[in-house]
Amino acid sequence: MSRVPLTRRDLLERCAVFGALVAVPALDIPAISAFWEQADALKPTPPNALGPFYKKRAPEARLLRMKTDAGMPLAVAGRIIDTRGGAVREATVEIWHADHGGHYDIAGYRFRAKLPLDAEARYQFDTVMPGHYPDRVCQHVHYLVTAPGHKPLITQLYFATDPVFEGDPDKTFTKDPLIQSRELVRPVRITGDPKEMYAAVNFELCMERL
Amino acid sequence: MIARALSLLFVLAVGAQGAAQKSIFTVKATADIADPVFAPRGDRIAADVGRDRICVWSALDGTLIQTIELPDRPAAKIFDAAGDELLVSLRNGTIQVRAVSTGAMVREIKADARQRTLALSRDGRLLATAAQERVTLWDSSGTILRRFAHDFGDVVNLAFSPDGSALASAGLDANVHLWDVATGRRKATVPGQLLANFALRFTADGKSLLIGGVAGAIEIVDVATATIARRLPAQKYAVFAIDVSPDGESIGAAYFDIDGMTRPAPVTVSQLDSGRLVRRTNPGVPYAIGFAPDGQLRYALIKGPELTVGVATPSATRRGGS
Repeated sequence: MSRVPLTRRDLLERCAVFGALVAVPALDIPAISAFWEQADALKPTPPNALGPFYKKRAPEARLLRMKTDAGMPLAVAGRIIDTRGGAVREATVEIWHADHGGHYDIAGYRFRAKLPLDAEARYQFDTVMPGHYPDRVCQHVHYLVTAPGHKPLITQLYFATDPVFEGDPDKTFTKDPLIQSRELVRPVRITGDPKEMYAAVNFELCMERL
Repeated sequence: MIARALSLLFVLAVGAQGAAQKSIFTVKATADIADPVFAPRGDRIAADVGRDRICVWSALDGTLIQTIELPDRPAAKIFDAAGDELLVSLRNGTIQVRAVSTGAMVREIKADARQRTLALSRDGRLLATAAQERVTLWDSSGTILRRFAHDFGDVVNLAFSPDGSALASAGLDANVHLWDVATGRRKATVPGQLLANFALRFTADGKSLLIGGVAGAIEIVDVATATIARRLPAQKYAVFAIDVSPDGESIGAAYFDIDGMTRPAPVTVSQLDSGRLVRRTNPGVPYAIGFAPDGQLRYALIKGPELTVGVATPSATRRGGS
């Protein structure tokens, strides 16, 4: 017997077949099903430009920051889910960003990683706050998330504390013409002990099924 | 071409930095100029002027040849092999073919999305376009023949082999693929590519494919085996355009600064057979290059409404080989 759970669409359609739903003679089952699923769905994370500096074969790592690295320590954590809220455990998550000075490592893999996921598809990495550089307005981290049966998610994480936003990203996020969705600008919590402060950000990524 | 590349690579264009030291002409348009492209023969150059207009000039002396009014903003454009027709992809998804001599519409192709990358086979019978990661192959009447796709990210360049049997595609997924046009099958993926390539150019005999990108080195791919045959010394810049001289002996390349794409960057000329660097000049921010019929490599700079065309290879330098 199949162990595949029924979806709401399956349930509705099967009920219709067996006559369980008979209250409304003109019931449009597919329309109701679609409406129900839509109401139930989470919004996929908005895509954002891949940019020119993606590099294949980034090593699996969680700790990207070395003690000698300049810049504010940054801890990012999140989870990879689908539009039904389920964990996408089989996802591959690659991230890359510029160093504190705004330079991408082209020759090597500094500040580039493939992130390990736990059983709940949670990820985390420790790095430094990316720097600004001449051709981009805002600090950002690139994400490439792929998973079987899902549309590849290419997006970027931005930081509400970026001076460019002048403390009000709701009004100023379009200062970077590449940011077309406010939700990519994430709150930043400054935490840690006084000797070792760091910025902490949560960024959950929601993938679309194919 | 670089303006298109830069828009894909999220750059805010600010125009060329500094003046060209070896400029041969500067033209001033009525509005800001963007996205210059040379014709394959290098004798004509087209650029966007303002929002809905393209001007075509002689790349030899700057004479205005045609002004083409468009119904929408252009997203990409290329000349045909002879430079007689200009193919313009509009943001509304249509591709118009315009006669350069009159500006008149020759034909129009309706695509389902904005095509940001274009390539035309030498005989003009095949057109390849790309929208995001999807490549579409068309015949000259606008019928879709094939569809290909990269894994993810935008396809940033396409090139047909001289006989039209193969199509090369380069994407931001850091892949360069070779496709069999007749079957639609992927023949090969160029090995060893870890970073994005932006420049693709087949040699005239079709035996080699020159590629270049973020890694900074021009690599010469043996098409038959899809292996890297040779690698020219890397510059500390990313390659965004490559051209081959009419005699097939020289490679021209234009670069951008990885740490600031609107910073000055070089234009180089190297010997194809030895890989030796013959000439390196720093004209400002090069936006396009093309070998002219006289064998000189021209580059284009833009600054507001001004388009400057300069020469990277004075004849005397090439003759002297220094």
